[in-house]
Amino acid sequence: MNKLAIIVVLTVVICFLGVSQAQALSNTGEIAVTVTLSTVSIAITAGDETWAIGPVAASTETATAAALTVTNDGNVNVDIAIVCDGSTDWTIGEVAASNVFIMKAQGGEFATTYTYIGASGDLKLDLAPAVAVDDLLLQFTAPTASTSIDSQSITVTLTASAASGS
Amino acid sequence: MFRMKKASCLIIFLIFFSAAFSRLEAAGLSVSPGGFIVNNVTPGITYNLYEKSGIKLSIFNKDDAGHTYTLSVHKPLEVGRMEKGYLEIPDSNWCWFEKDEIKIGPREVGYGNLFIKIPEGEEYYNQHWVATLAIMQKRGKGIGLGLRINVRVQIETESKDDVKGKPAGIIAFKPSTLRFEDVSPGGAQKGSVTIYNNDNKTHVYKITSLLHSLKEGKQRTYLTGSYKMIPDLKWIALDQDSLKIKPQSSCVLSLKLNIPDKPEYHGKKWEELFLVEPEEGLPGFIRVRISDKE
Repeated sequence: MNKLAIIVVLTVVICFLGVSQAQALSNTGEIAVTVTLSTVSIAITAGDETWAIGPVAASTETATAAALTVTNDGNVNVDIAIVCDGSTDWTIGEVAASNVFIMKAQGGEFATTYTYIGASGDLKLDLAPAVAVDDLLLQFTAPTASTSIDSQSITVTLTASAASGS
Repeated sequence: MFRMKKASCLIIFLIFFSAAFSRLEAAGLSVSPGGFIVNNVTPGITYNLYEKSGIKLSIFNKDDAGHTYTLSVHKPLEVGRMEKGYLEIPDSNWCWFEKDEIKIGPREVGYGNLFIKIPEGEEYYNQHWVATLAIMQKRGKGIGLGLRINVRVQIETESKDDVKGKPAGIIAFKPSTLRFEDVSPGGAQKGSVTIYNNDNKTHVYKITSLLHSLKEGKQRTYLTGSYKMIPDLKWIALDQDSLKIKPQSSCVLSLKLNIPDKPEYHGKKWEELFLVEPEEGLPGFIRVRISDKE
């Protein structure tokens, strides 16, 4: 009798565990991941290792002395957006003003003239794998005046994204 | 007094623009994979992508100097573009990295482990979304170049036709994936999908093949698992190629599958995506999956 009771209890426990596991599995949504693009990669080689602007007078224009080379060294087509945000005390603008500087780029598809780099990422280079643009120049125009005497840090960011349908 | 005025003038006209020796360093950054699809995400469950699939972002610092990189998630249209047929993820906080900043030594690799949790809710089934993962080299002071790579992840939530109410999104489907399983070539099968116009105006939707419209090789952006593009689009017949749907209404689209009975068509796994495109606004798509009897 005792043996039978134990068997019944064990059977109930096993059944219960079985049901719990099935429920757990059915609630565990198994995801499937498919890699569609292998590597997005970007490299920059500076023609001139320094762009030592240092202290500059208001409204001064200064450009990189040598061209930069931007290479798509990955294996998918990429759009490279060139973006420049403001610094702590200055904003970027199309026209220099008090605390407003201009940053422009020239090269690749816009090689003939310096084009304004905004914060929107509208300025783009489209590069196929193993293709490089070797004539990228940057031009900075200082604000007409600054209310800050602190040095400012400005970054021109090159963002590589896989082109749609790469 | 005169000296003070002179000093002010100097402050106005001499703008100290960063450290004296700002550098434009040669730099390089690679991220792999460059894009991926996560299928069958169930709302309400937290997914550790690496644990579930073995996939994590490999971030290669190709510089001779070590760098710190920030890892963040964004709505795709805020930072670029996205794949046609997908909508933006409604909230970028539904995906996050285990660490939002990592240090990677010179010529070394670091890893980014992604987590996904879509809130619980019937409306979040049957969704096709894109989120953008941004990997950015953190810069120090001074003027310089920064590198950033955006990786788009296509997130598809679990396809279900027995959920209550309307699925979320300005255009939505129920189910979002139509599965034809254990198909025998030579026999016809039918299926249907409800298309929802969740906009506030009437739309006329044109229904076309997405995969067959792409250039050869570009289908990999949409194909999942071991599925291949269906060889002949004529094998899937739609009862309508355009639908007019009133605001906040829905319409049913029927599909009929008929694969010719040839030995080479047995044991195959095929997919087709039908783009449902309004005359104005973002399109959506229906994924059709066919797995043949072995």
